[in-house]
Amino acid sequence: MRNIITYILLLLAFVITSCKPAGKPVADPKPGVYYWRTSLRLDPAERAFLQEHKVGKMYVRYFDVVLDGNEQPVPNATISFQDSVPQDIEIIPTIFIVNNCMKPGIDSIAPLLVQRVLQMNETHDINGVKELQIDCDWTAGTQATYFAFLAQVRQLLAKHGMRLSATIRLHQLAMEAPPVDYGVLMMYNTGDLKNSKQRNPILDKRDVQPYLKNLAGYTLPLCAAYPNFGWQLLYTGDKFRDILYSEDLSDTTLYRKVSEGKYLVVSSIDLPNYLSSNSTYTYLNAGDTVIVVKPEAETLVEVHEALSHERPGINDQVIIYSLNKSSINNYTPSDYEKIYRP
Amino acid sequence: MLAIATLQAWACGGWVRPNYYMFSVFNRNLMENPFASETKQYWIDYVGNESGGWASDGLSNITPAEFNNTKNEIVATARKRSDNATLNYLRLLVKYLNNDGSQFNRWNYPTKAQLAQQKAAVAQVKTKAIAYRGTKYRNQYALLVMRCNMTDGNHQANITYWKNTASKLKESVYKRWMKDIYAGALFNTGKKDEACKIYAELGDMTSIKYCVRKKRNLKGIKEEYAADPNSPTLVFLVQDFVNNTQETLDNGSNPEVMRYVEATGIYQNEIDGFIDFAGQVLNEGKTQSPSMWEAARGWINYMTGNQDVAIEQLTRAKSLAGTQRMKDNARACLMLASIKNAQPTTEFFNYMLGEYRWLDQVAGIDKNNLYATDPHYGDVFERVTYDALVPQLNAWGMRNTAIAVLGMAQKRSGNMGEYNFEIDSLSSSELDAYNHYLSLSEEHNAFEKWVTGENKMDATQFNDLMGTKLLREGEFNAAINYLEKVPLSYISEQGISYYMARKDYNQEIWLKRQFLSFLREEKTQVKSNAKLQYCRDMVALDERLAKAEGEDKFNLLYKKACLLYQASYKGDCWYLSHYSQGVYDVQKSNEADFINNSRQLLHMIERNTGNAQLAFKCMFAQTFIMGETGGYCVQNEYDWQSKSYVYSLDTSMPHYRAMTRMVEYMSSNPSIDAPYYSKCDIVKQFNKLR
Repeated sequence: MRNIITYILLLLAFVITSCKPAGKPVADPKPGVYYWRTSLRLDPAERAFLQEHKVGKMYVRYFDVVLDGNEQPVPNATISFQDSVPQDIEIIPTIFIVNNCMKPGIDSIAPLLVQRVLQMNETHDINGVKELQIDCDWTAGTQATYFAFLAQVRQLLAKHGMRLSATIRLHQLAMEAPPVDYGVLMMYNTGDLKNSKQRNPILDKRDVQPYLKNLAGYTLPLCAAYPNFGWQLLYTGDKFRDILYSEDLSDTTLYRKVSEGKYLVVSSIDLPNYLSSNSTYTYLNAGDTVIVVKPEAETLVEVHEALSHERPGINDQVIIYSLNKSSINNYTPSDYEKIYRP
Repeated sequence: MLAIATLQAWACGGWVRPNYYMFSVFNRNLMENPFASETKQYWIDYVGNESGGWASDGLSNITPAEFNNTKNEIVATARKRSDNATLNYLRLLVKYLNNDGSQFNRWNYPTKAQLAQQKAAVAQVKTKAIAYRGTKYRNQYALLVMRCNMTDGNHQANITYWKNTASKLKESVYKRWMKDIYAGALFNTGKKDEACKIYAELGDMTSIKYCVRKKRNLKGIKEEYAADPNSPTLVFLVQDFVNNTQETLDNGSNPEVMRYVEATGIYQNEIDGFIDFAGQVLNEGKTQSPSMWEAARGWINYMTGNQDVAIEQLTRAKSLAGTQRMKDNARACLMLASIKNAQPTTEFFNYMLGEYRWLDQVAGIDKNNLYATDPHYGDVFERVTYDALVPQLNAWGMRNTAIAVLGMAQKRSGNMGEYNFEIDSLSSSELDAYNHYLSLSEEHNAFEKWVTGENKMDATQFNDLMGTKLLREGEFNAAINYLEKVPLSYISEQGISYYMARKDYNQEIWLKRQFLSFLREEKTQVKSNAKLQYCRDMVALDERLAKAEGEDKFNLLYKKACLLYQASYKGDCWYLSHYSQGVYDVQKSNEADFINNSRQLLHMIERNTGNAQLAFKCMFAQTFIMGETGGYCVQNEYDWQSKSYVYSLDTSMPHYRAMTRMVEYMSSNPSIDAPYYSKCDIVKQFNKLR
């Protein structure tokens, strides 16, 4: 009798263990990139990047969902397809939803959102789409609404044979996992722009450190996304003002290099505001400073290794954020391969 | 009035007031669509009431299929009047609005066939609009033609259409709109200077801002002035220069900026150059807006410390030629500039009263509306009040007046931070004095009468604040007199009610913590006023202590130590003495040091009691307090080499010494029964690491 009980307990333990998705990597992993612009037009350098690194998945931002003037969630900044998508690469439509949309009533847009994505695929001949990704910086206050929304979207996608993934920010590892097929752990924007003089706001090991302990036990299958971008941060004194968008800092009529990665604005100029969703501009004063930050390749590799150590399999699929000719050259092909195929 | 008590109790983030710009010679509302209000007005007049304005916004929501049955006020009015000319125009407009490209951001994404239909629809609208031969909607149809070209990205067609047709039409808002589209077509075909001049002429500030983005410096201003001393873009460029100078100067004392000597030189040169150039412009007499130039150099002189010159120039600017807004701008700048070197005379306060009343008027502020209808003057109000007048009143030793001004300002700006902070930082006697000041209307000057008239404190608020302050000061008996008069309904409406209803101050905090997530905070109906009960308990405890002797006395003192810590800003029951709690809270000057008092009591009991169990508990409690207030010596860091979390001990910390003493004491006194000690995670880690 005692042996039978032991057997049942062991069997039960096996069943529980084998059902537990903890630590699982994502199914069908392929090297990936995010494409996060408002028009799809691939530069030759971008096409070359896809080919060189045998990129198999492109997570393409299709549109954002924001609240309109009547506080209703509406699509915004829809991508315009001005180029064909590479045929041999799987496209994963990705939708960014502003967290303040997560309020009662959001469930009504789940079918609209799914239908819209399907229609965009059809209108623009994007075939073989098997997945949708949702990106939302949810909080404890919006979690219940967001999760219910995701569950509904997942159910609707299942009818079309599609799966659902979601982005996971580091701090969200300590929260309940969302009801999706897998998560993409965002290993960027880990810091605070206001403190970027002390730490790299894009990726700093010190900001990652507190969350590593939550990795192994996180119940959702996970893969990781790493940054390849740099930021040009504008300061007036110590005060962070804005992010500049690919500004040519070698223009000596406007900027003077004062040290590595640090530039002084020598003549006032107005530039498009990168942080604002509206078409606004940022004024650069003579005397302001621009600090260029990007994570060192070594940091990426160290964080990549730490993630693999804490959660083997998480790097089976790596996504680079993002495919953009201005970012691609921030790292060497060999650096990318260390991340894609260590 | 006193919103402090009803704040969310957990609020801990600081709000920093933006660096509001003082200089404004054009209304920032102009940054919105410059044609919207006039086109709306047409439909308001057509319908006969304001609903015509909303209905014009709603035209884009009607589909062509719905047109014949829509209840849209404009269409319905035209239908009722059998106004076929209007109906035909609206039908075509609706068709255009349904196909203007905005559908790419609607939930129903177009199919391939719909995309083709949309292109065809725009072409049809254009053909019909060109074919219009009537007179009533001549300009509107022409505008439709240009909008269709714009949707197609056919800029050249718009340039041609403007030159050959639209420019010859009669003047109207539609014609100005067409000219704006024409400017856009010029801009998109490389004729940027020409486009910018048109934007400036039309007052399209959003487009001007884009156009002159590379001229927004002294060099650009000089070039623009040389080309046309009355160029409309100068209004924008001068305002921008002055405001950006303010931004730079306000941050200029920052060491990070000052480290770059070049930076200081660059902006100082530019500032000096602008002041000289403004003088040159005024001397030349070519400008039709001397008020703007005089105020610009006056305000910059004020910011750079040339107080007397600034007052002189700003005073002059008020009466020089220019728009009313330019003159008002000079007046607002002068109001602020006048405060710095003023004396607290009757004349000064009368001047302030007059200017505040004027500000209320130009800002469109009234007591029932927190938000200014002209946001710029709302900003001016805040800057004058918070950055200039209140600091000056405090410098003159008129603290009560300063607080009353903050209270008056709170009503107008909706910002509760400063007033609440001031009220919170008052001692009980200062609060009493402030309350007394509010009632002294006979002795006040006219300005004081005005501000105190808007700051009456009701009895319940006063009693709650006084009781809390006295509790915070350790005056428990005195606090009872006030707290007894505070109704439970008043407490229940405060943010702290959530914590008051759920946390028990009788709990020994070092043995059991009472954590509650602020995220779940909600106002809760309390069954008793814990502050009042706490004060009564403390008074009763002191009475018993006065009579107690021996171990009984030590037990009571231990109880007192527990209660004192709980009511401190670090205690779980901080709600007894505070209205909010934040991670950056520190011991304030207007409160008794409950933490230190508690620690001293624990230390004394530990040294003198004959009860070894109690003595050890006091040692444990002191170690807890050491960790809570000075940081814990057991630390947990991720090691990137070994890829694991590593616990370590910081032996330099006072908590380390306290832990060592406690652990060594315990090992040499194994008979002490302290389950809380053996269960303590920090003790376990400490022992592993030692």
